[in-house]
Amino acid sequence: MDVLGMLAFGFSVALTPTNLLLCLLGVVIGTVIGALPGLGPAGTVAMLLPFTFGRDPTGSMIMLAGIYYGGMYGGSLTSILINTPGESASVMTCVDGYQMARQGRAAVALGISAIASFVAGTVGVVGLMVIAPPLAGFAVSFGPPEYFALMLMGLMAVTAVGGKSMLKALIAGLFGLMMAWVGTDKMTGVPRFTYSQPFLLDGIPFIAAAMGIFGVAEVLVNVERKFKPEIIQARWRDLYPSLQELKVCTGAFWRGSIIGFLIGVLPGAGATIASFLTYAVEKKASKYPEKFGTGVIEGVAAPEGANNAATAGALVPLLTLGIPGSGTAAIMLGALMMYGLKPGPLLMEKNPEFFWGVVASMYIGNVLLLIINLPLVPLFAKVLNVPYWALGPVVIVMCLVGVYSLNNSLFDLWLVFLFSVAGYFMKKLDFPGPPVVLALVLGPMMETNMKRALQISHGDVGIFFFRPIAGPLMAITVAFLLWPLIRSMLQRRRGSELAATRLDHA
Amino acid sequence: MISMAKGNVYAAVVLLAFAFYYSYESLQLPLWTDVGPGAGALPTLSGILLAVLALALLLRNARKSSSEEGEADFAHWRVALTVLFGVFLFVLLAKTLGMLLTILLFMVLYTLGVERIRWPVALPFSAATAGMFYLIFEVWLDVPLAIGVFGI
Repeated sequence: MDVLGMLAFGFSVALTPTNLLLCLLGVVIGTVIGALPGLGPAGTVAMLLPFTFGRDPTGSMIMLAGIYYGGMYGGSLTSILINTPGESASVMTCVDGYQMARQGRAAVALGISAIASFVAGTVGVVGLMVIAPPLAGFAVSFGPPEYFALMLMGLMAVTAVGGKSMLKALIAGLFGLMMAWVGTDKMTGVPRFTYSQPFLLDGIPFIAAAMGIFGVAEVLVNVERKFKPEIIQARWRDLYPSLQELKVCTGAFWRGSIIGFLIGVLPGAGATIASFLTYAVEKKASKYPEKFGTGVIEGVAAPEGANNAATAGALVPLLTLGIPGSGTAAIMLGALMMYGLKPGPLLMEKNPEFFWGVVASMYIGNVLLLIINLPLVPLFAKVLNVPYWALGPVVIVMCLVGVYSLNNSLFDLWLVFLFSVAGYFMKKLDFPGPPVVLALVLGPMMETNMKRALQISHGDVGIFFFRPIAGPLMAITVAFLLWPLIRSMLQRRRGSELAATRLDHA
Repeated sequence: MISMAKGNVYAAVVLLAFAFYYSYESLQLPLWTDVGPGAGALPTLSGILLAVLALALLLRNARKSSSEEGEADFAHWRVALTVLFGVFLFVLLAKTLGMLLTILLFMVLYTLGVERIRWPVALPFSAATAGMFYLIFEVWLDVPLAIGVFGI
């Protein structure tokens, strides 16, 4: 069947009343929680994962995907109304969005944000639909060395761009890998670091780490700040942008969609970089770049579009290669494995109802987001009034009870506690969280593929470097590792050239 | 408040100790088998790598002056520690008291102790939260929550 035929099949799956309801639930929950400062999409998806366990995988993933891209829109509410991004991908929306709000144009900013999210989200899903099948077809020929190289590249990419300091990001990734080695070695059956505890034989559940780092630790940091936002009141009757404003934003919609999607596809780059890059491109493309930062409407449309398109892009490596490109995607990968699905190139072939059902639901979800968000945005904005004294403890309890409910294991709660402590210090000292969770999810698969590859090559590590696909992937990995060094060399060279030019002029 | 550089030095020392312990434990496992790397190969490698990176973090920050990297905001650490202690108690008591009573207790302690909410608000809110979790998990999702000595 061709792509359109499969898409039609996907719609027949996504349009069942249950899946439609789950999609609606996902985008509403995503928007509401995305609007709460201090709880990003990763935390939200992790927190709500237990609700999907034991249920139909397609419906569950439809809801999780809805939370993921709904959360991206929800983040714009806090950015625009209180100048506090709900998650890092909404940081650029603050710049012009908050200025628009201060000028009494908050509603227009939220309106254009909803429209940009819809346009870019839809373009992103088209991209996902077009790129995923050939990429999956190509990846069918991958063997253990290619998978190992790909996973290492994905991990290195998230690490290289994941934080303020590459050294700290590397430490975080390595710490995640070390946690991933806990449990029975799948190839030899030898227990590692289990200390005779049967609970540890299956390894450390990634969800305990995700809840601790993205959920409880986030509350610990927020509760210290005594967060009390000053909310700018919007005139909701002005929510719909004028035709002139829409015309001005057309370029921003397209640039945000395309750049956002392409950046989202790259492992590690994600929605945050997409929104930063799109904002910079939009400023360059503008006839009045000097006005950016003072409340320019394109400055809201471009990054908001980019972060939504990037979520669709992030699903490309996740669904076709089984490689998550971000912390949230890593949690979704863990969810797929918990549902009993094997993410990778054969997913589309073996579970077409799952893949195409999720793709079709994203079209529906984007329409639902637009329909819901435009008239209901004043209601969603009320979420900002929820006091943190009520929200914080509920999030903590949700994380703890959620983890308990997955295996009925009180031991897992101790793991949440330990990861909460680690997560708190990581946040305080600027160690990024996503590499830990990503490494925890990818670690066991990486190890298995590495050992299988070495079995094939009789212990020759050249198998990772001299094969046509694995070799370039390893080269990219090394480039990611050396990037800070290359960058500083380039900067030094540019600096000395500039100094030489000045001397010449003098 | 402590400087970020100092915080990094402390973190590096903890990581270094962890890396040495982890490497030592890994070395007790088989490093190589007839068919390739053994169970201890990657853990040992990771432990050594972490030790190297932690050492780099230590050396990079040990020579920095306090003002170079800004401050690590630990000004209100007591609040976070109190909440963490609450989480610790939650995990400790969940088996004995049962999940629902533990939720109720945690919510009461959090709202009254950490947030200083007046009890006429804190108590009904805590009870409502425990009730909400009962409805969601026991009734809706059919997940049995841990039962304690009081039978709930």
